[in-house]
Amino acid sequence: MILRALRSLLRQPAAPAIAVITLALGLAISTALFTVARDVVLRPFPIREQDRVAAIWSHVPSRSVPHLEITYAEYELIRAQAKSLEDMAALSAANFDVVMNIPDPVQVRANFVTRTFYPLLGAHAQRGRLFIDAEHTPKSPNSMLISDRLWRTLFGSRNVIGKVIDVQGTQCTIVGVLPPDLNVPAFADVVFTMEPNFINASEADRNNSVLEGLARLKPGVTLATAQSEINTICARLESVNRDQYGGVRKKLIPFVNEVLGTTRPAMITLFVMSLLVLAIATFNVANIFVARAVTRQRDLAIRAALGATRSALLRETLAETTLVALFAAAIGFVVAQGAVLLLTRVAPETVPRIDQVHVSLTTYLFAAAASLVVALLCAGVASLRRGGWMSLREDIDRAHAAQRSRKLLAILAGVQLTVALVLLTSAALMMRSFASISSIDAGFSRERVLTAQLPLPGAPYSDAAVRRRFFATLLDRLRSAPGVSAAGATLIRPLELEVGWDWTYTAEGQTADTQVKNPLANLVAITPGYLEAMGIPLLRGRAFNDHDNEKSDKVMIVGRAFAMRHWGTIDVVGKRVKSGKLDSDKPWRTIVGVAGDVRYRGLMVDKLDVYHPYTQSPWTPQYVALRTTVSPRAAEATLRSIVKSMDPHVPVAAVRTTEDLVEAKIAQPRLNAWIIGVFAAVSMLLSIIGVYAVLNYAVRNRVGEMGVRLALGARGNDLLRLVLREAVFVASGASIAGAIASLFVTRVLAGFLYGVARVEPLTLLAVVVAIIAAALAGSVVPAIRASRIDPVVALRDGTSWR
Amino acid sequence: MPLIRTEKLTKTVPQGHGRLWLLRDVDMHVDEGEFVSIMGPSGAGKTTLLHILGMHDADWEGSFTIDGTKIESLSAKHRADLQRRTVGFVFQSYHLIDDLTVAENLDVPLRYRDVPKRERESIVADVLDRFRIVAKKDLYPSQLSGGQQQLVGIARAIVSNPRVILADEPTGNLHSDQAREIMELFRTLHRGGTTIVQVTHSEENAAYGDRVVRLHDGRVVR
Repeated sequence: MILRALRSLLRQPAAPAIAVITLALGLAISTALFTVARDVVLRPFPIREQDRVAAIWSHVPSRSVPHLEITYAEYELIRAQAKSLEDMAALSAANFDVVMNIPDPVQVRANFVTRTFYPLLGAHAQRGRLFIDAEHTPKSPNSMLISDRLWRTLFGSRNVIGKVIDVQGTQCTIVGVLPPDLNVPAFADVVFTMEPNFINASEADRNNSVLEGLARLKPGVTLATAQSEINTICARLESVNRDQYGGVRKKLIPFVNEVLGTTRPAMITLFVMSLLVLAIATFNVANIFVARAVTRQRDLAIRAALGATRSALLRETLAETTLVALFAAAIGFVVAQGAVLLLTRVAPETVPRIDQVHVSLTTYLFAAAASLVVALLCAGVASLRRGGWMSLREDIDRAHAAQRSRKLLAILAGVQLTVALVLLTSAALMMRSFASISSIDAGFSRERVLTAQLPLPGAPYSDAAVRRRFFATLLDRLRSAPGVSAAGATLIRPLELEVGWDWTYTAEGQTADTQVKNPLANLVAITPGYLEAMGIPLLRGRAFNDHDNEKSDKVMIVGRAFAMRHWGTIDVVGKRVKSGKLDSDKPWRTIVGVAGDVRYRGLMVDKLDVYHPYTQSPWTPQYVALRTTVSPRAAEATLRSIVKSMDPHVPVAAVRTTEDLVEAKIAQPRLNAWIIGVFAAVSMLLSIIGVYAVLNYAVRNRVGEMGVRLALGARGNDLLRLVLREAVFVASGASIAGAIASLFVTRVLAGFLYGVARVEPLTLLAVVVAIIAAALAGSVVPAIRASRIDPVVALRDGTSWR
Repeated sequence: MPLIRTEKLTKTVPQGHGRLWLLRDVDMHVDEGEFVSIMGPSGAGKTTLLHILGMHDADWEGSFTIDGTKIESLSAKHRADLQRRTVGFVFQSYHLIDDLTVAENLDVPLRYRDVPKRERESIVADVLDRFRIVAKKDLYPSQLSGGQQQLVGIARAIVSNPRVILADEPTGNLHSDQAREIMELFRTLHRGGTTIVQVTHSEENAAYGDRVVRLHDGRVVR
């Protein structure tokens, strides 16, 4: 049967070849996206019953603070009292950088976890062991776990258990290697125990919001129940420490959502869209097989007359569709492998588990299963149309059957165009959103600015004065270096982290009632020269200088939005602001300058910026910024050489131009836009082929009718219009259906859009025009053929065109 | 002056290294109001001649005039215009358009002649009435018998008021009773002054006409 099917396909190979190619495209796209979605979002994490695990964060609704870290005190209280939780753990809300000397200094990302952390997850070490209880005590030996990535890249997969490493001047022992896909804490390469830092710590440290909570709910307990109980428990803290906990509430986020963030809905949306592309390809193949069934109707009718049962005929068609689908699957699989490789290369490293995406047996199974489903569907649709044709009468029955098939094919083409319109609308919105994000003014110069992180190793730099001296000397030397026109240092560079130093403050003249509504400001400690080096405009007043030191009056620079919020003007030099609430005993700081707003925590995150001189801040700079007169990359060597000459143990890490910083933030939306753009382009192409196939079939079947129309006085142009009108009719129906469907689909996309309305009439109109243009493009060749029909030949045998 | 005149009308098609003669030096004429039957065995060139007279086929040699206009000297556009003004066509297999109703089928030739919609509706209503098929105006061809379909086919041919009706074996697919009814209809039209040229195998049908032109191997046989 397979050989007979192959022979049948090869007799008229053009249509099956088109079917194979279009289906291969659809299968390649959906298989590639399935593979990525499976490994990034669908595969369970290596933890026990992940559905019962949730992250715990704070938020302050009354002050519009949507996301705040929890404190160690809260962790202890919730863990001790929450009856809805099986257990609770905590980890550092953000990774921090440490320098490992092995023996050259290497900067790695680190995190702290509580004793309950790994037991709560039910995780196991890949090599060695996890922490034991003794290591969570203040006098414990310094133990650490390392990530699979660090083990492979830095230690070459050698046995490292028991190896002692110098970390910031402290000797630490590697006790275990974490499993490769344990993405918690995200992107941390080394993990330490947390308790030694907090047991015996000051009250201030214990009440510092720096942690992320993790809870395992008891079986049957819902998130809402647990959240309600935790808020009740934390209300007790609020009553005893209103300054710290006033208005603070807790929110629980399912573990998977917490770890995967927006990647999960984005990936699932992309996967569903890839299935839509596959659906379009399937409609194309169904079209082709319906058309084949009609042209072979006489042959099939003869077989039926000779005793073939309907199931026997269905099997024959199924053999053909299966062959086409399997050929397509083979080609699609090869293309999918390339696409997976490409996606993993171009995807930003912030996509969780992207490095673990690989083609595997389930990828094969998906491609094979999808192709078999397509084969079954196509055979089913083709046979459906054949049901009423088991007749050898050639006149009326046949004409009606052909007419019904034309309607079915037109519906299939209409559905294709509808799906294409939805994809095109989505792509247009994503691209416009990407354009909006790309055009955001981050507030600093993107040209000729180089930044780098200089994490000072522990022991020699434990004193703040030593750290400040290091930076002062370094900046002096950099400013006199060739190719450097300005240099400065900062606690945090823009777009580095989504968290930062939140500052509670009181503006002079505020009452307790107005102060409590102040949002948390974004605090940045900077050196003189930083604003100039970064190209952050100074709108009023002056920048910091060397006279702003520990002994001088406390000063600050505020961002434009800060000034406008509190005084409605940027002429605020001389106004005063202090740390803490109204009754705080902290000294007033005088505003000496107003700077342009900078997007520190994300391109789409608005915060109020305040700058303190590094000499008047407990925080030491960690990043340098150089404005260069040459290519910023050329200045990297100068920076490295100067740092090395000052202290060879200080690593120059995370070297980025400001352009790189922005690029890293737009990589994900750009990738999303590109992927959906490719889907839309492919779906358009497939739809054009689909419309072509339908109209070509229609014209073939209507040659006789066209001949009659010519004999009745039609001109070639009349027939051209007849075919084009059919295309426009199908496209118009698809446009209405697609526009309605788009309204629902773009609701799903709303979370990924920035600066774009979910319903954009002009975008929709442009997409509708594009769909009608695609339908017309697909109909051009059949229409021209129709216009060239020779009436004599058409009337004689009804099947020919010039 | 005859309405239709051909002189040395010749039609060939390529065959192998040479050419196959379908019509050779055909001289004939049809006067205004005449009913002429073209007869001959299969392959004699009857239908080929009819399509040339209907101006569907422009690939021939010789001379062909309609109402004094030399067809060979006309551009394709002018030939098509003349065809629309002059010719109505009736087919052996009726060739009604399946997905149009009876009334819509009658409307098609008028539409291609750019007749305004209101006028078209009036003409179609008249013809439906004249052919006594008003009750069937909303039926589709598949709902009609062969005789009824051919009745509609003839109605469609005359709806645009052509100078001549060309009928290609109009009763070839009908049984004898229906065939007689159709031929009676042609006779009625003829008596009303319509010029008719029919291709037929039937001597009985030919007897409805004024004159017979016989073809054999592409030539007119006297």
